[in-house]
Amino acid sequence: MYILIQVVVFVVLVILQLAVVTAIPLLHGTADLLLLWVAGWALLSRGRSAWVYALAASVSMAYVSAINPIVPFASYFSVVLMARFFQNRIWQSPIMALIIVSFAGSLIQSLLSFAAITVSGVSIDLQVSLVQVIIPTLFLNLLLALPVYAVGRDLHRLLYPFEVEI
Amino acid sequence: MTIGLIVVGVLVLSLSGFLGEVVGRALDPVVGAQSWIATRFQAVVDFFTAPRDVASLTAKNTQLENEVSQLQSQIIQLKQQLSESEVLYSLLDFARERPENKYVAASVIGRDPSPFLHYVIIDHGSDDGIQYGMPVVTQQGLVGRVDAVTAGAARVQLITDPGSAVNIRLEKAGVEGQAVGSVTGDISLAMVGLSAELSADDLVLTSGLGGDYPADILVGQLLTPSHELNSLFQSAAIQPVVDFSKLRAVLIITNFTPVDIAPLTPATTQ
Repeated sequence: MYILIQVVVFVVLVILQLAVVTAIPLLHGTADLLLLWVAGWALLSRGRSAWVYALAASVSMAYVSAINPIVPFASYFSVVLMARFFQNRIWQSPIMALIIVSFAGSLIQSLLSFAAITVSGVSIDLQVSLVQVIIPTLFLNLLLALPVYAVGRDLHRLLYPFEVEI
Repeated sequence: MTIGLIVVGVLVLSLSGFLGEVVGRALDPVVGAQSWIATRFQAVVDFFTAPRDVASLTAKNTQLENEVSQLQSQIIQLKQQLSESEVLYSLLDFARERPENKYVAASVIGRDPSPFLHYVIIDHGSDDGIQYGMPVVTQQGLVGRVDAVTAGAARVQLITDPGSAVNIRLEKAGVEGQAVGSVTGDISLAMVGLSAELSADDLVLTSGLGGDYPADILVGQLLTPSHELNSLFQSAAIQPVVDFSKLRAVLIITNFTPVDIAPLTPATTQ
């Protein structure tokens, strides 16, 4: 039952990302709901579910997007890695950890995307990309990080009410 | 005797025309009293029945408000259907004007999650005869081409994508070049030599060279041509005819087979 709920939530997130979030750009940057969800869930849970979310998000984005598949795999798994790292060190302030992980994950994803497109032979201007895409994307991700984390926390409490934080 | 006198008096007054006035004056106090009593009685009735009327009016008002809400939602739905119908009718008109091509209409159901890329996802795939490389248009002009296909969906690379390069020709200038996309979604002119005389408002059409797109599909309009010092080519922005931010339905040209010229491209020399 828990797995079914998480699958449904994940599918809803993918649909929202493709149909809604990408249609609401700031300049030319868009938020990444899946990255924020993976970051928030990795900070909330201590089990393997965050890795499973990262894998599912990577596979779905690699399938849907025209970007090099290395980008989603590297960015989502690095987010979980960072979340695990900060979870053990600044566990008393999860919001700060969330902001750091979201910011760093978004930056890694944007820079990897830029590098992947450049390596594929397409010439894009770094300054234009920075101003028009990367910074707005970072801003949107930071803006949406808290609401997404709040939804994730409620769902986590619903699914795992007896999990005791150490 | 008395009755006879009264009857005679009435007859005299009636014949002389004064009966109405006399009767009127006699009845005026009665009418006044009747009016006074009726007004007070109605006030008393209103006093006792008003709360019940307010309650019924409130219920009626609520019912009417519900009906208004339902009608408003129906209006919104009808407007949406009308808008979709208009888009579909315009696509149908476009397809009828070009009977030499076969089209499949599809709805745009998503966009590429990467903000660096400009791709859309459509709701038709290989089950509907869509194949890799097929050109995608709207009633306004060129949209892009099919980049990946599944059974029920396909991904379309827009001409605004930074990896897109469309071979074009300028209608007035009569020269050929390329329309290349960018990360910001702007399209610019490339590969046009310095000798060409470019003018603003020149129409940009596909040239058909390279075999990626059919010839003579409208791409956009030229804006502010310029050439930088020591540059080999002129440059200009192209205003696309398609509004890519509001792309909702597209047509895929299914009877056009793109030509793969990769085997003809000379290998890179060391």
